[in-house]
This record gives sequence, C-alpha cells and structure tokens, in this order.
Amino acid sequence: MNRILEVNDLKVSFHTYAGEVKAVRGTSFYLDEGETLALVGESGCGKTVTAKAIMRMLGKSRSEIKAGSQVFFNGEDVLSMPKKRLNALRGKDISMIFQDPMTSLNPTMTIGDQIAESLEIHKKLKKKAAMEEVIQLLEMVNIPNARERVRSYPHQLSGGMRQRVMIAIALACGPKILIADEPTTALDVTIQAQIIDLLKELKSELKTAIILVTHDLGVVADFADRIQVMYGGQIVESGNKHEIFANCQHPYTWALMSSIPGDEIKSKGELYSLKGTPPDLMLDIPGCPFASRCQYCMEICKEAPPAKTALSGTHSVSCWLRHELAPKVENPLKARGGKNE
Amino acid sequence: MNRNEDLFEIKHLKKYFPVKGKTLKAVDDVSFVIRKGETLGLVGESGCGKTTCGRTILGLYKATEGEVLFEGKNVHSMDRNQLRSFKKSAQIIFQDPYACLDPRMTIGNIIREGMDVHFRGTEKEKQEKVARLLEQVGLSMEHSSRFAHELSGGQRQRIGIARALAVDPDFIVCDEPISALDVSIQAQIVNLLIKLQKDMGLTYLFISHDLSMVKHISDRVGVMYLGSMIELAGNIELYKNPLHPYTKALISSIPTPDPEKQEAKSRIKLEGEVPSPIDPPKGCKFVKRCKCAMKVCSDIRPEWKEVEPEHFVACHLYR
Amino acid sequence: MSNSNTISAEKFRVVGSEDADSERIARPQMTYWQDAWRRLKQNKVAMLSIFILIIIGVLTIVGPYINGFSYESMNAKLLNQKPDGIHWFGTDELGRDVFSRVWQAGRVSIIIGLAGAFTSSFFGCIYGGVAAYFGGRVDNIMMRIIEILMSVPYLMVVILISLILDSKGLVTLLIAMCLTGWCGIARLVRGQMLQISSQEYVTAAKALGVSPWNIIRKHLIPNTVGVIIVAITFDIPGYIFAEAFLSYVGLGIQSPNTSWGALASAAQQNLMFYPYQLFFPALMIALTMLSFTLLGDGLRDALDPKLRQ
Repeated sequence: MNRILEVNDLKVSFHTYAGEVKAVRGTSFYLDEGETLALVGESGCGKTVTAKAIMRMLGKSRSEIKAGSQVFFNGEDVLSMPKKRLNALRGKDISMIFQDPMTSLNPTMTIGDQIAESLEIHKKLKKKAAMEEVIQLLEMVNIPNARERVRSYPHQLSGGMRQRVMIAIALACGPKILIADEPTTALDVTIQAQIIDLLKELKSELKTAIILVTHDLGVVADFADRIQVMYGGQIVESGNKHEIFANCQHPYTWALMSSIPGDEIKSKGELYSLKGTPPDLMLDIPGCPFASRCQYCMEICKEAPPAKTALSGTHSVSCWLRHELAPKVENPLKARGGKNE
Repeated sequence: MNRNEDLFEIKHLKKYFPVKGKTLKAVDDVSFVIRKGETLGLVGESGCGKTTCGRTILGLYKATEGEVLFEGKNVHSMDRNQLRSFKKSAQIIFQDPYACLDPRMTIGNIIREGMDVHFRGTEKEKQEKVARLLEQVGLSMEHSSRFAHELSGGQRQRIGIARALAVDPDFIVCDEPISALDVSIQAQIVNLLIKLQKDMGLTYLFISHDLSMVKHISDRVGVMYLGSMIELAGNIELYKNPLHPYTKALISSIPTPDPEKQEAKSRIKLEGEVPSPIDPPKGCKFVKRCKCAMKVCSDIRPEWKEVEPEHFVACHLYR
Repeated sequence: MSNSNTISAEKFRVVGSEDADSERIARPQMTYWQDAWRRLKQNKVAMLSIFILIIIGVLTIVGPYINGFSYESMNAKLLNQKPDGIHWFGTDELGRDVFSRVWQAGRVSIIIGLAGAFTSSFFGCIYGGVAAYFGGRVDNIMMRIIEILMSVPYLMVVILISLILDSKGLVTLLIAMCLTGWCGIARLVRGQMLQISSQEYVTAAKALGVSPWNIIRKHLIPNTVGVIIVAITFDIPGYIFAEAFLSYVGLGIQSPNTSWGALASAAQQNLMFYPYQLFFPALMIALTMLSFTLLGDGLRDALDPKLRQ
C-alpha cells in the first residue's frame, strides 16, 4: 500500500488574549492510498484543527504549528513547502469539503464558474474546455440537468445539491486526498444518506483517499476503513473499523458508543453519559486528558500521560488500563450484551 | 400505558405564511392528541413544519385555521388571564443553546424571569428556588452569577431547561433540544429530561430530526412531511412496522453505528430533494418521490386514518 | 518512563472521576463591559484617540488660563504676531492671543458636539424604539416620516429656524441641527431592536409571559446600548463639523462668542499672510473629529459580541 500521508507528532496552538490554547498535542497517524480514515471526537477535541493543519489552512497570525511537527505528503514535507508549491498542492493534490455548504460557496458566482476556477488554476484549462469538464463533474455527482445547472447560483440549489457542488469542486482536479470536515452534519437524514452513497461511489471510482472528520459514529460505521478517536487534542485510540466497533478499549470510546441509544436499551432507560465537560485546552494536562471524566481513573492517570499500547498491527490505545499493574476492566459494552458482542 | 386524559387536542391545525404573493403552508391540516404524562415525538426533515407546529401549539404563532384545545379550551381564543395561566403550564426549550439566552443577563436572572411574572413570593423564596432548579439540572449556585457566554453548550441547554421549569409547567415543547450538542452531552440532556419527567410528571412534545434519540425518549412518534402528518404510532411499532413509504425510507436512512448491521441493511434510496412548502402539490405531498405512487396519489390527498389500533397513517396504499 | 519498577502498584487504584470539578468554570468571570474594555485596550489606535481626546478636553478647560492672556483682551501693539515664546499660537488681527482663543472656542465646539449628539440620540432612540415595538403600519408611517425629513437639506432648516426664532447663536444652532440629526440614529435603533426581537431569547421571554414593556426594558434596550454608544461616538464629530461649517458661512456662532468654525472663518481673510491663524483651529477640528471617529471604530469592534474570541 502506498503511504501518501504521514503525520508525526503534530502540535498546534492558538494564541488568544487569555493565553495559549494547545488545540492539538502531538498526534501521529498515516494514510494509505485509497483508504478512508475517520477522525472521530466531539467539539474541541482537535480533529478539525488537525485536518486544516495538514493543508496549512489555519491562518498564520493566530495559530502556530509547533516545531517538531511533521507532515509528509508522498514524501514531501508540507510544513516547509514554499508558497508556490503549497498553492499547487491545495486543490490539486489535497482538497477539502466543509460542513456548511451554505457559507462555503460564493453566492455571487455561478456554480459552473466556481468549479471551473479550480480547473483553470491547476489544469490550466481554457474557459470552454473547463466548462465541458464541469458538466461532466456535475453529472458525476448526480446533479440532474447538468448542462443547465451550470449557470445556477448557490442560493437556487438545495442543501444537498450544494454539498454535491462542493464535492465536485474538491474532486475537479483528481486529488489524492479529500478531507471532508463534517460533510453531512448540516443535512437531513435522507440527503445525508445520498451524500454518503455518492462519496462511496466516488471513492471506489477515483481511488481517492479520504480523511473524514466527524462526530457521527453512524456515518463512520457506514463509510470509514480506519478510525481514530480524539480527545483533548490527542489520539486516544485507533484501529480499523471492525476492531473499534467490536472491541474498543479506551474508556472514552466506550462512553461514545454507549451514549448512542441502541436497540438493546430499554426505552427511556438511562443512556450512559459522561459527566462534566471537555478539558480546558489552555491548561497543561500532566496526565491523561480524559482523567477527570473517566470512571476508571487511577492515581497514575492524573500524573503521567499513558503510553501507546499496540493491541494488534492496526489497533492501538493510549490508556493506563493497559499497564500490567492495572486492574482488568471488562468492556462495558460487552457486559451489557450490547452491540459489541 | 393506560389512557390518560388528553392534555392537548389538536384539530385540523393550519398555519400559513404569506410569502411574496404565494402561501407557505408550514402546517397544513394536522390533527392529533397529546396525552398527559407521555412524550410525543415529532420527526421530519427540514421544511416539514414540526417546529412551526410546536410553536403554534404554544400560541407563539396564531393559527390560520383549526383549533388547539388545552384542557378543553382553544388556546388561540383565550383571553389575557387564561393565556397567562396557559403560559405557566406550557413551556418551551430551544435548539440553539447559543441564541436562547440573553447575553446581557446573569444566569440567575434568566431563570428568575418567569418566576417574576407568575409568582408573588419573597426575594428569599425566589433565590432558594433558583438554587433548587440549578441543582436539579446538575449545576450549582456558583453558576447563577455567570453569563451565558461563559458556559458550554450543554450547560446552557440545562439553563434553558431550568428556565422552563421555573414556572412549574405541566407541558414542555422540546424544540430540537439536542441537535446542536455533542454526542456525550446529548446523552446527558436526554437523561435529564427523562428524569425530570419521572419526578415531576411532565408531558413532552419532543421535536427532532434525530430518529434514534426520538425513538429512545418517546412513547409515541409522529412523522411529518411538508406540513402534513403522514404517520403516527407507538415508538416501537413505528420502527418495527412503518407503513408510509416516506417513513420506511427515513428509517432505513438512519446510519447505524454498527458496521455489520450497516452492511446487512438494504437502504431505500430516496431520489430527489425535499420540495418547498410554498404551494405544495395538490394530491399527496410525497407523490414525486414515492416509489409506490399510483394515479390517485396525484389527485386526492390521502385521508388520515387509524388503520391499526393506535397506528395512524395518511396514504392511499391503506384504504 | 513507564517502567513497572518505578511506578508503585498503589498508583493503579481506581478513584473514578471527580464530580465537583467537572462543572467548574475555569476562566475568571467577566461582564460584558469588562470584556469590551479589555478588547478596547488592545486596540492601540483607539487608546491613542482616547488619550488625545482627554488632552484636548483638559486643555479646553484650563487652556484659556495657562499662558496668562485672556481670550478677549486685545493688544493693539501686537497685531497678527507669528507664534513665539509669549504667544504660543500667535495673535489675531485684533491682537488677541490665539492660543487662549482656540481653547475657549474649543469649549463651544465640543459642547455643541456632545450636546447635539446626545440630544438627537435621545429622541432618535425613543422614536426608533416605538417604531420597532409597534411594527406594522405604525412602523411604516414613522419610517416614511423619517425619510421625508432626511431629504430636507439641513442648511435650509437652519436658515428657517434662525429666521423664525429671530436669533443666531448656540441654542438656535443646536435646535436646528438636532431637528434633522435624530433620523439616522432612529433608523439604527429600530433596525437593531427588530433584529433582537427575532432572537430566540425574546421568544423565550414571550413564552414565559413576560409583558411587552418588560421585554423592551430587560432585553431590547440592554442589547441595543452598544449600538447606541457607537452611533453617538460617530455623531459627535458630525456635529462639530456641522457647527464649524455653519459658523464658517456665518450662520452659526456670532461674536463675541467664538468657536473653532468662527475662528476659521475670521482667519480666512488673512490666510495668505498669517496662515497660522487658520491652521490651529482647523487642526483642532480635524484632530478632534478624527479621534472620535477612530474611537467609534474601536468601540464598535469592542462592543460587538460576535467578535468575541
């Protein structure tokens, strides 16, 4: 498998009036050609910041990618790329789609022009040739009447269609990596299903690798190959789809899985819920970021960060429960007789 | 569950908005009851009218036609005093925790606002009540001198709940209360709502587009499409035995957080987009996207019928 | 680092999460005004403007007394002197000390600026609030009235008023300027209140049964105050300039009272020979106006809740 993205020890901080917010605290992961990696976590965990940092889209004035961070695309060092190469990278090698299609499209340009923009810049196509490709792209994303729709403005389209236009823009130049930042959160359930099916189709046709940033475990189950769970700016567990859903090992992952009402839970029964709120990222957290909310928290958890334990070639978890001196705790999802059997 | 008295009886409710010469039929002839002590879930996608329905029931919008009977009296023809006592009994919590609290008021004052309208207690009594309410929703007096922008989304939503509880209501419209929150916070809020219902005997109208959460918290669930209610049944019955084609498509679109189940599921693909509620089609509103559409569907609106005990549907497939 | 020899087994006792800490708020408490002040402080330009305005303000109060010359006393022997060690801004054609005159004039100009802005804002707020509260036809009519008023050139109004009241001077000027000046802020307040009325917390208040008057008092007004403050700050330079202009063309402050505009007007004839007489009042007008405008800009950013990070 061709490794097209490698991220090592990524650390990102934001400088605000109240202090330094350490949004990402040393994440490392990789992405192979054609696979879908999901970054899962709740707001404030750092998943969107990680995704934007890969393309260096964070805005230099307020953010800082700390020294020691490494991002390699196909062997090339992204963090020290010259501006010209970086501009060529964005849109052509790596592209991104965002959560809210309403605000991500320029309301004063027709959708045809917006898609063509990418083609004109990266593939150096002239207007007419670009338009032909645009129509093909619109058909590829299942927009009916593509030839007429090319001249529509974003406000004339529904939310689902706008999201498809965004996907068309992102895929126009055949990027190796597509970063999808909560692509279906703002959409209705039936439209969400359409978009996910579309992304699956495109993934198998174009062999694009996808980084899916989301908090929706349902979408992840449908679509991702590998999953990384983030909390407090760090990756707490990573593994492939079956390993995570069938045998997750981190207390936070257990909490996420249990928060979703399943078929087995008694109607109006109590959902497992984490008390409290995510940690304040301005503070230095000496131990595990999840310690203050974890029901299995031990003394050591508050004092030192847990090491990364490999459970298999692909499955790893960062938790002190893995230590040989720690008590054996059973996966509560299994004990419930729930979905993790 | 035994047949309690009906708290609300909604009869042929319509709410239309005039929009540039045309009519936006947000709620188009909806009839159902809300029973005391139950949670009635209301689901549907954007533009289906569920939020408008909830607000019209509370009298925040004036009905264009039809009646909303609360304990027998029509909400839209109540006089000032009756309306006042109605507002004490029927409250609402909102979707957006970042917009539903006045940024200039302290948390304590936000919670007290309703009390100042409906109660004549002393200052001390009101303070004590605020403290009790904060505790009930899992916060403390420390939060009462804070401002909304200092709290997290989950905490703000809990303040919204405390505010609604401050007037001792019997009925609360929960208008998408968890959509803007993270998954683990959603579970917190839902648990809180269920607990409050048990402790205080509340009745809920739970409006949401999150079908799995609605199924979990509701006793009965109604499905709306483009202003009309197209199906209503007990929660387990609806998900096990959906009758209306739209309900079937909706349920099959829910992504299951279980890869094996997801792969085994065959999804009903719904083509096309949700049409606009401005000047909807003449017959059944779902006709353009329905795989089972017949000739009669384009001409005549299907009747709202109880085809099985406690299972209502509006579809020509079930005559 | 995690060598099982160095970590004692004690550390692996499960203690669970601490409930008490989990809801605690880490950041210090900050009211809206404290937060706005903090943000304003970061804006160097705005702070500089405040500094300049304070200096100008102090000088208008004590300036006429500093160098020992009264603003009125004429000295026939020292006509049209250039600025020097004794007369810091020089003297005018009647031998009066320009420095003292500038600061004396400043009192009038600034008072007009402040009084004009606050008076018109007061009426504008009430008008806009009433229009927003009633809405519908009342709102329509009230807004049309404003539009008509705004299309009347205020110069004409000033002339009319001075003819009617048969006087010129400070009060007439104020009346005339305020008569049309309140329209802008009325529109602004109405717009802001309409926008706030559509916010969910106002819907919540209505659902609670809060009376309309209390909704206005507790929700609409406090959330409009920021906008009003910024509008007033922008209005003040407008009034200062309007007064300067009117006095310049002779419709404003008359002798022996003086304002910056009147000073500029008088100095105009001597521009070729004694430019300093025009320079100083003009400089003060420009500096004051610029400072208020920049301060207004800074205030707008500081008071806008959406820009809070």
